[in-house]
Amino acid sequence: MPRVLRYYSGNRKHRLEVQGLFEGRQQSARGAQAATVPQVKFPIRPQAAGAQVMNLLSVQPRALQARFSVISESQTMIQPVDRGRTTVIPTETVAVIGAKADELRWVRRQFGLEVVQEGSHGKVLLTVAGDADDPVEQATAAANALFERGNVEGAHPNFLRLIQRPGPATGGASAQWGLDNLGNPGVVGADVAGLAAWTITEGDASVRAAVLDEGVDTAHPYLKPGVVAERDFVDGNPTAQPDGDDAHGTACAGIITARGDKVRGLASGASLVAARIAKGDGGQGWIFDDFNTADAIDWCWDDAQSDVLSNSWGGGPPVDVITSAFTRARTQGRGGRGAVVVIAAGNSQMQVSYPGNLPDVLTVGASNQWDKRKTRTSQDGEDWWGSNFGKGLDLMAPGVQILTTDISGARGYDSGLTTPRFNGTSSATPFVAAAAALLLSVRPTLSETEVRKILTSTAEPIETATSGWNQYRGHGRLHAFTALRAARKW
Amino acid sequence: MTTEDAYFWSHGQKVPLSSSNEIAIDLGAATKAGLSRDQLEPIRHKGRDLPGQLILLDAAALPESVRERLDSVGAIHPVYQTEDNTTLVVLPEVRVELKDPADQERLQDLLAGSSTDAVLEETKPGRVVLHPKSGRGADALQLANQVVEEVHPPVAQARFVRVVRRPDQDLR
Repeated sequence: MPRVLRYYSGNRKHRLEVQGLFEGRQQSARGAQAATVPQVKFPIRPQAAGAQVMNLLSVQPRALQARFSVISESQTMIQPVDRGRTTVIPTETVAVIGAKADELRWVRRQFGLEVVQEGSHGKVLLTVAGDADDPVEQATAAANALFERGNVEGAHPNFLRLIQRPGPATGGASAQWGLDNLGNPGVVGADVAGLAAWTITEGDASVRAAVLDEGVDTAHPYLKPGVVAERDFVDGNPTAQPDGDDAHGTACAGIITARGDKVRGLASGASLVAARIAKGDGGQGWIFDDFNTADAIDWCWDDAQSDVLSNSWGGGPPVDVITSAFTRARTQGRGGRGAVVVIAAGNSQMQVSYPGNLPDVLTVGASNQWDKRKTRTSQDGEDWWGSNFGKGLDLMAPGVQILTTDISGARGYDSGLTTPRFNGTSSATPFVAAAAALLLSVRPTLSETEVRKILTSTAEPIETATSGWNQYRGHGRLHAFTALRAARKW
Repeated sequence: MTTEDAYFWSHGQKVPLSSSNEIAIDLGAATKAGLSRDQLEPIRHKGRDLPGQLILLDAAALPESVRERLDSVGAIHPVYQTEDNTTLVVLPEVRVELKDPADQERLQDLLAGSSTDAVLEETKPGRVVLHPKSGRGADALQLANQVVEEVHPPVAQARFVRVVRRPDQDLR
């Protein structure tokens, strides 16, 4: 029979059925084996609440780690990707709001609770003594007694919770495997660790990511909420709407900021700046005017105050007007801290193309679901393209069968609001741009140099066990979660 | 400078340009110069649209008499190919970024003595655009090279429109 705990929240008493972890905690106090939380079926090591989860994540094989992510990195919580009802786990700690010193002394005297952490705005975390027989029961009793005395704003058991979060579609070919690869197809964990990254941040609206491309459907329901600035540098319009079937920019933007049921961008909380710099020629060509492109770059970092510039374009000879504009973005953007410039390596399986071969930008190649560099012979089956390589290549990111936003109707890659087929280093680049936006969301004072350093130094080696730069894979595949953790400690 | 020995400067390096069998026609300039709709419509139909009323078409498809007429009014711009099969159209404009007043003085001196008449437009402090009065892209390319070689500013670049291979052809 499950035990029942009652606690106060919002001046109401709530009832909670306690299952596995509670029993497990009891067992662990007596040195028994690891317990099981029924809903998610994984072992929890019998240690203090904060340490349990971190241990779990560190000891589990990679396949399992990829399916869980830390919600609160500093403390405790984990989250199953599997759909299921929320599991709430009471602990031996109590969260108290608005307690004066007298109340804390009283609860210490009556229940033996000690302050373990002082939070902001009058929050205090208390814990029962380490030798308590039934620490959860005792913590709950103390919380209720404290609340019933009427001298605090709130007091309740401090919960760990296993929750279902709205996430990307998972499983199957239409999933956002780039964020969370469940191995269908491919290798579990061969992704940018998007879900784990979201436990830290989904991006702050104050951070602006610019997509310089053939236009973005800024009226797209998944993109519109994030749009803060747009401009057309091809035809001089105030909006960046694409022409005809020019769907490329809309697909790139979705990887960064989409906020929809079917697609969610890696930095969905960040803001979107759209600059139209190209147009299709109706055939196989893509038309750019170098002066307009340079003006767009300057507009993005200067007028539109973009923090990150995502460039899924390239080819042709280098020109000083574009190089010079990128240099200004890197050195003068963000009040002198520098805007982060991210550029696609190219899809010809040859040397990195311009402007990706410029120094001091983040140049991105493509990996596949198997965590391999995308080549014409890699097992993903797309034998018509391969990721560029060589000098200048910095990072790899998912670039095959990427589910993202699409211009709607017959003009798009597919008929609906999304496409599952976007690919190329074009799709890998916005993953890195989004990761840069996440880093700046948690550490706005980072310079662009520091952002590049963090993203490259935390990349996961692929096709090799050793870290370090390699001309075919750069520093490895983007790992947004590890990068965010590094940024927080920077 | 003939199309055979065309080049431009980038990052301090001379970048050779290979001539193309295409030319670009500025329909706006052609119309201003008095070419009739009957003369221009066939050109429009034979070519590919580029931004700014430009048409890219096979040079051989243009009758010599029409070509001469268009060239005389600055309505034809050169087209080049690069090693990676990018098409470059040179427009009649040069953007210059100057590092100091001495650059500005040297630029003024060069323009005063240059065989290419150009109008100087200051767009921002330290940044100017030169417009060859001929309206020809070929003159812009030559002028940009002159500025690089004699004034040595950080940037002196003729305006290129580039046509590269779309990255998403397989999705169409």
